[in-house]
Amino acid sequence: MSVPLPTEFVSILEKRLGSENVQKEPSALIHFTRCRESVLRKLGMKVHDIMPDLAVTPTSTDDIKTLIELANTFKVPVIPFGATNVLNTWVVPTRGGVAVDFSKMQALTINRDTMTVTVEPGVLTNELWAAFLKDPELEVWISGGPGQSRVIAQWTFGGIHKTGNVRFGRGYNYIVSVEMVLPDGTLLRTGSSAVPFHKDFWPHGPGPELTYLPVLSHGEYGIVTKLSLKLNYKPAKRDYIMGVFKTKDSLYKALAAFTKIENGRAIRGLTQAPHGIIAPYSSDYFEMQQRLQRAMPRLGFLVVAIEGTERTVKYWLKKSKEVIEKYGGKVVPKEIVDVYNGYLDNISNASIIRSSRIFRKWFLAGRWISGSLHDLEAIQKWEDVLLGLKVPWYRPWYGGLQLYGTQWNHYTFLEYLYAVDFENPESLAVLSVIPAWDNIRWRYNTGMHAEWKQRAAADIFGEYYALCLRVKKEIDPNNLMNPGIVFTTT
Amino acid sequence: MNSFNKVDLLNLREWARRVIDERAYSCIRCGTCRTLLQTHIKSFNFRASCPSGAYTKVDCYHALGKQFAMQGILEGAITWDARLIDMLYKDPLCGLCQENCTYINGILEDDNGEMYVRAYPAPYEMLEAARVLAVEDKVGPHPAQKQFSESIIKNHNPYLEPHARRLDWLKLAEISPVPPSEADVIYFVGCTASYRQREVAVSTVKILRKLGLRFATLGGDEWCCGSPLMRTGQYAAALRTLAHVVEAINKYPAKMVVTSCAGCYRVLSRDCERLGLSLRPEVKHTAVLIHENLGKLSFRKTDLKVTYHDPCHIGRHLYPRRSIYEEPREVLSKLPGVELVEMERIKNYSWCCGSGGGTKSAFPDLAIWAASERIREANAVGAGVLVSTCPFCDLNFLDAVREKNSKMEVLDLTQIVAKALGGD
Repeated sequence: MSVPLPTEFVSILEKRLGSENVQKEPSALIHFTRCRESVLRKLGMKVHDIMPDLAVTPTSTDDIKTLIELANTFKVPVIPFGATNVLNTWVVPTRGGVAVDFSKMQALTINRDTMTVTVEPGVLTNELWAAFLKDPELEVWISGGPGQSRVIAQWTFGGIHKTGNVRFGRGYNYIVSVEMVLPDGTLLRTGSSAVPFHKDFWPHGPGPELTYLPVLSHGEYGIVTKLSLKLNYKPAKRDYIMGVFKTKDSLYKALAAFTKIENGRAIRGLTQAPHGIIAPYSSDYFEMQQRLQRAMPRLGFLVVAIEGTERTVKYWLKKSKEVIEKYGGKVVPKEIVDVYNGYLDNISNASIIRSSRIFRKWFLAGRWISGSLHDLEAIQKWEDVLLGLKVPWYRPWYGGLQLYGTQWNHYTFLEYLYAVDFENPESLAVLSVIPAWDNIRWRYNTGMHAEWKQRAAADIFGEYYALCLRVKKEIDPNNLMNPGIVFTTT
Repeated sequence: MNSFNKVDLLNLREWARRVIDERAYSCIRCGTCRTLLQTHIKSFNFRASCPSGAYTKVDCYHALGKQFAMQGILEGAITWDARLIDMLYKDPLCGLCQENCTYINGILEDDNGEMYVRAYPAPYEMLEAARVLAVEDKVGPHPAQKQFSESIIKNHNPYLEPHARRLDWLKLAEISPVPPSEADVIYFVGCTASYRQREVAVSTVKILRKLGLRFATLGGDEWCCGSPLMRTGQYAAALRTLAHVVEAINKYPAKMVVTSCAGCYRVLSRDCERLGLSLRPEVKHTAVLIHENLGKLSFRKTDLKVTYHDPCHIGRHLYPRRSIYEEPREVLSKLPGVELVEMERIKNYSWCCGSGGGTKSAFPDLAIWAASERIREANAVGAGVLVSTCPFCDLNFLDAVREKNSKMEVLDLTQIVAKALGGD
C-alpha cells in the first residue's frame, strides 16, 4: 500500500519548509488517518493502516508550491486535509504520502471596495463568520456551515450548502476567484484575479472558466491556497420562526409548501431537522443525521429565517406561522431559542438550537427526546445500509462526482432519503427531491445550476463521473493529489 | 457515575485507560474544540479557545488530535513518542475544549449531576487521564515539570523555596493569626500566595480581620495542596501531599477553610472527593466569602475601570454546579467608583491565562503568550485593571505585563477589596 518516502524528499522538504513545519511522529500522523470506518472496511483496511508518512504545516502558497513540485519529482502523494478530520471526507492517505495541515495559513483580507473577502485555507468558517460580526454593513453569506471546518475546505470539499439557502443560492455561487496550486506546481489564478493588477470581482476572468474547477472537489485537482468570496449588505431586519412537528410527513409537507410559496424576497433559509440538518461544525453529515435520528426519532423541526424590511419580515412571519400550523406544526416559543448570542445571524443552524440545554430541557419535559446521542453502532449500521443502496444517484456521489456542483443534488437527495421510508427508498426519495428543486434558485437559474439543470433531471451521474475522471487524468496524470478514495477506479 | 470522578488509586493505569477509552472513542472529531462556537464568538480578534492549538498552530495539538492519538496508544497502534508528550503537556488544561464539546455534543445531566448520555468525549477529562497514563507508563510528566514535582515532595512547595519561609508573608501583614485550635476559619494560603504573590495573602487576612473572623493558618503543616502534581498526571504523589493537608485541617475544630487560590480551591473542593479523601470543614473561596459578607463591609471610593478574568480552576473545572462566576463580579460591581467592563470571552468561555497544567514551568513562552492575549483582550475593552481570583493567574499576568511592557495593572480580587476597605 504505502511505499516508504525517499529520505532525500524528506530532507529537502524539511530544509525548504523548516523542520518545525514537518511532523514525522506517529502520534501526530494518526490525526490524519480517519475516514469513515465502513469505507475503509470496503477497502479492506483498518483506521490505523492508512497513516500518512509525513504531515506538513505550510505557511504560504510558496510552501505549497514547493511541496507539490517536490512531490511530483519524487512521486509522493499529497493529501490536503481541509478541516483535517471531516468524517466523510474523501481525503484518506490510502497510499501514504504527505498530509497537509493548513493551520498556519490563516490570512483573511476584507476588500470593501470590491465587497469581497479573501481567505487562506487555514481560516475556519467560525473565523470567517467572526470577521463580520462587528461590521456595520457587510456580511458573508455562510449558510449554516460547519463552523469548525476550514472555509476553503468546506466551499470546495462541500458539505454545507443545502436547502438552507433559499434566497441567495448556494454558497459556492459567491466564489469570485481562486488561487490554486495545480498538481504540476503551476499557480493558477482564476476569475478577475487572473488579470494583472485587477482586484477580485468576477468569477469569470479571461480565458477558460476555471473558477469552479476545485469546487466540490477534495483536493484531487490541486490545492486551493486563496479563495475570494462576494460579500452582501446586511438587511434592515432579520427574524425567524421555528416550528416543531410530531411527524416526518407533516414536516416535509410544510417544507414543500414553503418551497412553493417562497418568492425570494424574504425567506433566507429553511432548515429542517432531524433529517436535513447540518452540523454547526465539521462533523460527518451522515453521522450528524444519524445522531439526530437517534436523538429525536419522532420529531421534526423547521426553521424559517426571514429578512428584509420591517414590513416584509412582519408579513412573512405571519405567513410562515400559518403554514406551520396548517401542516400540524407548533411554533416553538421564542424564549427558548433567543438566548444565544448571534442567534439571528445564525438562523439556519438549527442544530445549535437543538444542542442547547434549555431547548432540550423543554423537549425533555415533553418526553420527546430519547436514546443516546452517541450511538455509534447505529450510525455504522445506517451507513452500511446507505452504502448498500442501489439508488442510481447515490453510487456516483460515493464515487466522488464533484466537478459540476452536482453535490446539491447529492445532498438534497440524501436529505430526502432520510425523510422517507427505508423500505422503499428509491421511489420515495425521487419523489421528494422534485419539490425541493422548485425554489428560487432553481427557477431563476442562480449560479451554476443553469447549465446542467436539464441534464440533472436525468440520470447524469455516470456521465459526469467519467468526465471527472478525464479531467483528473489530464491535470494529474501521476495521480498524486489525494489519490485516495475519490477516484476509486484510478 | 462519571468514572473520572472516582479515581482508582490502586490501579491508576487501568483507571486512566478506562477514562480515556470512554472519552476518546466518543470524540467524533468535529473540531468544536478548536475555536469558540459560532454562537459565542463576538469578534475575529478573540475567537480562539484553545491555547495549545492557537499557540502551536498545528491541528493535532487541539483536543481532537490528542483524543485520536490516545486511541492509538490504547490500541497499541502507536507508542509514546516525544511529540505526544509535547502535545499532552503543552496545554494548560483549561478545559474550554470540554465546554465547547459539552455544548455541541450533548452532554446532559440528570438531577443528580450524572451524565445523561453513556459515553461522551469530555476532552479535558481525557487529557488529564492521558497525563496520568503517561506518568504510569514512566514517560511523563514533561522533564521540565519534574523539578517542581521534586520540590513539592522535598520542600512542600513547587517554587524550590525552603518550607521554613512559608509564613514570611505574615510579617508583611502585621496581623497575627490565632492558634488553629481556637480559630473559626483556617486560611489555606497556598504556595503562590505564600511565596510569590504575598500581597494576596496579606490582603486576604486584612479582609478576614475586617469581617471579624478568628482565622488561623496551618503554619508548618500547610503543604502544597498537590494541584500542580494532579494537573500533570502525578496522582500518586499528589495523594501523599493532599492527604497530609486534609489530615492537618481535619484535626482542628474550625468549620470553614478559606482559600484565595483557585487551584487550591479546586483540589480541596473537588479533587479530595475524587481521591477518596474527606475534608471535614466547608471550603470557601475568598470571592464567595467576600460576596456573602458584602453587607458587613464598607468601602471607600476607588476610581478604577476593571475587567474580570475567570480562572479556569474555579470556573470550568468545577462544572457544572460549583463554578464561581457571579460572585467576584458582584463584589466588583459593589465597590464604589469601580466600573466593571466585561471582556469578550468570559465565564465558562473564558480564555485561559495559560499558566495551568504545568505549562508555566515547562513552556513559559506559551504561558506568557496566552496571558498576553488576555491582556490584549482586557485592553480592547478599555480596562485599566485586570482582576482575577487566582494568584497563579495574577503571577502569570504580571510576568506578561513585564515582558510586553504593558500598562495594564493586575490585581487580585482580595487586593482590590482590601484597597477599598482602607488601610486600618
